[in-house]
Amino acid sequence: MTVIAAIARKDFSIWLHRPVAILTTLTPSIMYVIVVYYISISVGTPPIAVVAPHPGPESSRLVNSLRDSGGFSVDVVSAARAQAELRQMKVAAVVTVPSSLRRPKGSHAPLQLPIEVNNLNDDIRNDVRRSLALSINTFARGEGATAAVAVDVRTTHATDVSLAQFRLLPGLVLILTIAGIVNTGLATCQEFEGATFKDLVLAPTPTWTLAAGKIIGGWLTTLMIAAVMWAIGLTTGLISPAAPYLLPAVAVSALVGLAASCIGVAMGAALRQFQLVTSLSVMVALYLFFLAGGVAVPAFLPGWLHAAGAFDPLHYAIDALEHTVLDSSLAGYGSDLVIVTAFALAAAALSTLVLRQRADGQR
Amino acid sequence: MATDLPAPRLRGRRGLPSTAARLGQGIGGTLAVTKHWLCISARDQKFAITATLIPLNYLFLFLITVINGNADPTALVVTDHGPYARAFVRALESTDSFRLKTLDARAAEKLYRGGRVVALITIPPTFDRLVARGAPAPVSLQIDNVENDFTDDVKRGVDLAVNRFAAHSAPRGALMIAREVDQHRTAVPYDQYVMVSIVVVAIMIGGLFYGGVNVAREYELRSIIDVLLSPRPRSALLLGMTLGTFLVAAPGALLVLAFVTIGFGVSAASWPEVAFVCAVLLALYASAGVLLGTVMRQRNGLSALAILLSIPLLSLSGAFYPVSWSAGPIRAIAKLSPTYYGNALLQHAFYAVHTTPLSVAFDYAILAVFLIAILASSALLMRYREQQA
Repeated sequence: MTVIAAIARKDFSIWLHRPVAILTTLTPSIMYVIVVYYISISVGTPPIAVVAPHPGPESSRLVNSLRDSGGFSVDVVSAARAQAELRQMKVAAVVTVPSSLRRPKGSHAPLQLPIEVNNLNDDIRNDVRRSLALSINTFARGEGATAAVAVDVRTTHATDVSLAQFRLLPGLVLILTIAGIVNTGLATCQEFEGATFKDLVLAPTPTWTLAAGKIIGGWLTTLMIAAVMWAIGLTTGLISPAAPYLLPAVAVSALVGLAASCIGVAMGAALRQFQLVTSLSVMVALYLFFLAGGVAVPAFLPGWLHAAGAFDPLHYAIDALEHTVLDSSLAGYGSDLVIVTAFALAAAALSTLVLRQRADGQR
Repeated sequence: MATDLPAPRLRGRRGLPSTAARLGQGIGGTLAVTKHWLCISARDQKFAITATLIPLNYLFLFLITVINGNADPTALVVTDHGPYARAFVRALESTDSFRLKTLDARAAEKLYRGGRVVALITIPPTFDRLVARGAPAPVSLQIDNVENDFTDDVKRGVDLAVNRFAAHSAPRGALMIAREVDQHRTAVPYDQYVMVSIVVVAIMIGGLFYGGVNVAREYELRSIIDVLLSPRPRSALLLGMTLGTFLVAAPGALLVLAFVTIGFGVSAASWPEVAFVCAVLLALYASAGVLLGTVMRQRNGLSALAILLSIPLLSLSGAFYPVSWSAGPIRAIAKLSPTYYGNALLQHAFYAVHTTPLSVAFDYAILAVFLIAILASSALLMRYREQQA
């Protein structure tokens, strides 16, 4: 135990004495949180300019429908300014309220609502079209028009989750994975580059204690980063599980850090070269993250990727976090935890095996 | 390293080097450091290969997220096959909002429960009868509301279909419908649009990673002292490092570009402009990599920084939608990042559209300012390190 503690303490204190390394891991993480938060605010409500040259109660009601339906961020301006804003990419579209908003008696022909769209890409264009349809239908209902189709909407989950919350949980897993694999991998390969591994091997202690020391040292650094991320999440309310689910969620993130540290030791010992560990460890972390569906709603992923994700432990970690934090549920939590733990143990065994091979080579 | 940098011999009048001699020394120094950089890559082939593949891997990974497009995978159960029901299905298809899978109720429910579709739309057997009567026909919409952005997309997509169906097919018509005028002749497909931005960030990763790691290694191995003690002008040595990084990172950038253009058939409005923008960006990020390595002087943490930065910077570049539509703080942060301007310029080269409020020339000018500022910062820092050495 003393050997394990000594190795872990050494790696952890080296990391603590490298403020640049700490800063470089934390800065992009914090930046990621800020960007995700602010982008989630503006996504789904494209800004539009509304030109209403014919004031009147109907015109006001239409403008209110555009503004209040939640589909747009609306700015009512003059025609000239609207065109300028469209050209300068300040708005996604210009809607011009027509002079008359009443259909001639007996006519079933719909009124035309002119909209000039910045169809830069099909996603933007479709977003604008959908949001406008929402506003038009809201306006029509307000005017007493009978809808041809009544849509009965039912949702699976009791509450909606914001885009920021949805993106931040996989982001937390990514940051912990990269930090764990890279920091531990580099700490391990530095033993080889600095030839200090020989000293470790010559100590009268089994190889698994070396692996355990390296893993725990790396895990401690990852836990520090996890603590910062959780502190940000809880303070801002972006990651705020109900009280009974806080501990299970934190446990999952700690396990992710442990699994990543185990992979880091295995990679550091297998590759032994700083440059290779640097480049490959980051790629391994990114592949694990993307295959787990970390950046998309799973249904959007191709079928093969969905299938591949079943073999990715991060998939289960993200699933467990989403259930505990977003749904306040422990459904599937046990099996998710078992899979992530099993993976961490397998990676620990692998790292011990690789270290043993290297130790045999040194002896 | 020192053997690559012979002491200057050319002297002008009064014993001072002439302009031509100084220029010669500068070029000589630049080329010597560039050669040194290329030699490192040639010696460490494993690193060179893996580092070259990093930008390509980055492209692959992000492509996964956009390859299936932006339409919501949706199961559709149609239990009425009358003309109105068929018209409503056509209206749903016309919205480009859904990837519809028409199934029987049981199969649809299975896909929905399994998370393979995000919504389930059911058209009831009474649909045609009610529409013909002028009564609202009920349509069931189940949404797996894992996050509210795409939940809104699904709801609004159905709103659009309802509006179009009512306007074009329902006996009573719709009160109002949009008359759309598009600003551009065609809309760029979403996946292609995002791909161009990924190219920018892949170039960024290559430059930061290669430049940063190589410079940091020089500091870690203390071989940087040989460079700093050379009598060559500092600016020449700095340019040599930047040029060396540019050359070793170029294959990675070319691979990414080839994959996007040949592999995915993304064609450019102007190929010379694409080449020019990519070269400018690579030079910029190569110099940024050199600065990063000079600041950090250790490889530990540098690679993680280069890769982790890429994710927020991709969003800030305007990869998914124009930054000018974002909240104030995002616009402010984005303007401090060269990826914002670089992305706008590459989008202009590919699609002949400009996505920043300023002109193309202004965006180039800002990138030039970034480049000069980075080189100047590196030169100052190198001088400081030299005094320390």
